[in-house]
Amino acid sequence: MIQVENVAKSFGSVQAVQSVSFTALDGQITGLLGPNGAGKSTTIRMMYGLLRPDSGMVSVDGFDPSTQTLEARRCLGALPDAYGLYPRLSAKENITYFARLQGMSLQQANKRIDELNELLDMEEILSRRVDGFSQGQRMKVSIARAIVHDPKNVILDEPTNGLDVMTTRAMRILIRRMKDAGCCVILSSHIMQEVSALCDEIVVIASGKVVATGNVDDFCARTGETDLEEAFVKLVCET
Amino acid sequence: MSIWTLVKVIAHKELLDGFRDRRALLSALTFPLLGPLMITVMLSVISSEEEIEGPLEVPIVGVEHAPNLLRFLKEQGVVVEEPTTEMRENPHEVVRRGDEAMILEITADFGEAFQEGKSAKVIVVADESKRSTQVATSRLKSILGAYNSRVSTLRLLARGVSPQVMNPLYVHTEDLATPQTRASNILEMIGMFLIMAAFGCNMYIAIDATAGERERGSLEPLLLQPVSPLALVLGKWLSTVVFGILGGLLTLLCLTVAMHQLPLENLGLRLVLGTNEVVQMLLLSIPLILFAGSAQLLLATVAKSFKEAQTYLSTTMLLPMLPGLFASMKPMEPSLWMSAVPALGQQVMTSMVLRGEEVSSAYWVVSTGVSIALTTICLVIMVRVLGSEYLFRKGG
Repeated sequence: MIQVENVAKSFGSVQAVQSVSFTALDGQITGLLGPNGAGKSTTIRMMYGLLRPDSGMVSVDGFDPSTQTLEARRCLGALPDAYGLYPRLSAKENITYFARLQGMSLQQANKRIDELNELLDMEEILSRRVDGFSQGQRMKVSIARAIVHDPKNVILDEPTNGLDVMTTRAMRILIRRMKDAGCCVILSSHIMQEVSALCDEIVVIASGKVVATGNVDDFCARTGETDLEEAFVKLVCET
Repeated sequence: MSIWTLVKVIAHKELLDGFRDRRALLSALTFPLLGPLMITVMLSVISSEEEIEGPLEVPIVGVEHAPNLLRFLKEQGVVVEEPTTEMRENPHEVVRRGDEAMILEITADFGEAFQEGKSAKVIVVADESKRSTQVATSRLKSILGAYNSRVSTLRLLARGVSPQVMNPLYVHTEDLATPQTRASNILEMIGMFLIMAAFGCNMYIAIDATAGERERGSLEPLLLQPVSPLALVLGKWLSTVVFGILGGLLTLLCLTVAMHQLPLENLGLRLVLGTNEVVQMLLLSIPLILFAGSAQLLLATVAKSFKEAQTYLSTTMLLPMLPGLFASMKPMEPSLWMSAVPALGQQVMTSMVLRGEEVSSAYWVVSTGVSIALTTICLVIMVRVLGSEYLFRKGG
């Protein structure tokens, strides 16, 4: 479970996040929706513990990422928007490296990679060097690397960006599976269909503040629109 | 998982990555090969010039006028060549064309003047703008000078005058230079190449592990792992140290091979370059390698991009080379304060080792201490930078 309470963050004179609060429950997919520059990335980085909130607090399964950084990260799997891999290492070496950094033994890592291979269908790319991989292949390796330690909480920052239809479908299946396994999944996305199809709870952020929390039906009822995109535009423009 | 296991995992990955990186390997190999190659070329050029030390071959025009002089020249080991007709008629043209380095011409009235006790004229035709010719003519002139003083001594003695009248000054030079001190210019260069290796061999891997990681977008995922910045910094630093030490070892190996191939004795040089010296030089360069890795990592972490890091590092690489360049032009008197300056200290100490001098323990303590202190400072700053928000503030 990830809780965000009244966090605020500014860089110099720019107030990136004014006040954001929400709770992402286990066994649920929570969507973070907001226009560019709304403060999504800054909020996510505060959940990672890369940035410290000026005020308010974040808790990942009870750990504060800014003070109990390592503990929080052990129960967190993260796919940041920049998900660079090491081009001279093979897919398997890339995943194994992060597994080892998470404290897993080589045997544990190999066992888990076999599971992930089945889940993500990576057989043909596993022993190849990452250099020259397609966007979809890269994403598979990145997501495998992010969840190699089987975390209870997963934060995915625009995970289907630039993916083809097949890989996008595979990614959605994976996200649902994580939810079914009782994980707390946070999904940031621009794609309305994706958010409305996957998320149990949606948090709309605009200008550094939460403007609405609820599910698609709530938003539509509140704005009098029939689809999420129209509702979203209205919600964002209200602020 | 203990911090050391993490450090090992990180260093192992960086080394695996580095050894697969053609650019990193190339830059790591360039410096160890470049230095010995340059020294070999320079020494071969010098030794080919010195080869004139062989027998002096001179065509002599008009030998028939001076049989005594001819005998003396032969005694001194001069190989007298039979002149061609053209040399007799136009010696200037032959020398100008470069067919002969020089021609000795004995004038027709030599015998007459010699008999009368006047100065008998011999002409050395040579183009002294050529360095190789200068050496040969000065050898010929000194042989002629020796003949001069021998004959004048005999003539004075025949007249009952002491030959010392002719020499109011008795000049005797006591040359204290040993063959080893003459080699000092080359010694300074060996030190410089060792320092270049310390900074050059690990430069690429240092950039790739920091600015490269950032540019590829793999730094953020890496920093999201439950790894303390200290483990991260130590792991990356260790991998640069491994590259640096391998580079230093390779440099010394190539230098040793090159030095044993070269005809150093012919040049009057004697370099002490045995196992003992190689080990000492490696030991004294290790603290510098530790420092070089930490400083380069720190600079490349603060740099905004791979290109920027490359610019910073290749520029700062010139700094540690300065003492070596300066010393090879104007040898310095070593003093203890120098060992407190990284690179300069190693420069001075390498020269001492190669000159066969004992490096006092004060030099070892000061240079190692300063390098380790600076290394610690760089690593601590880097830990602070990676643990802070610095790298993520701008990307907002």
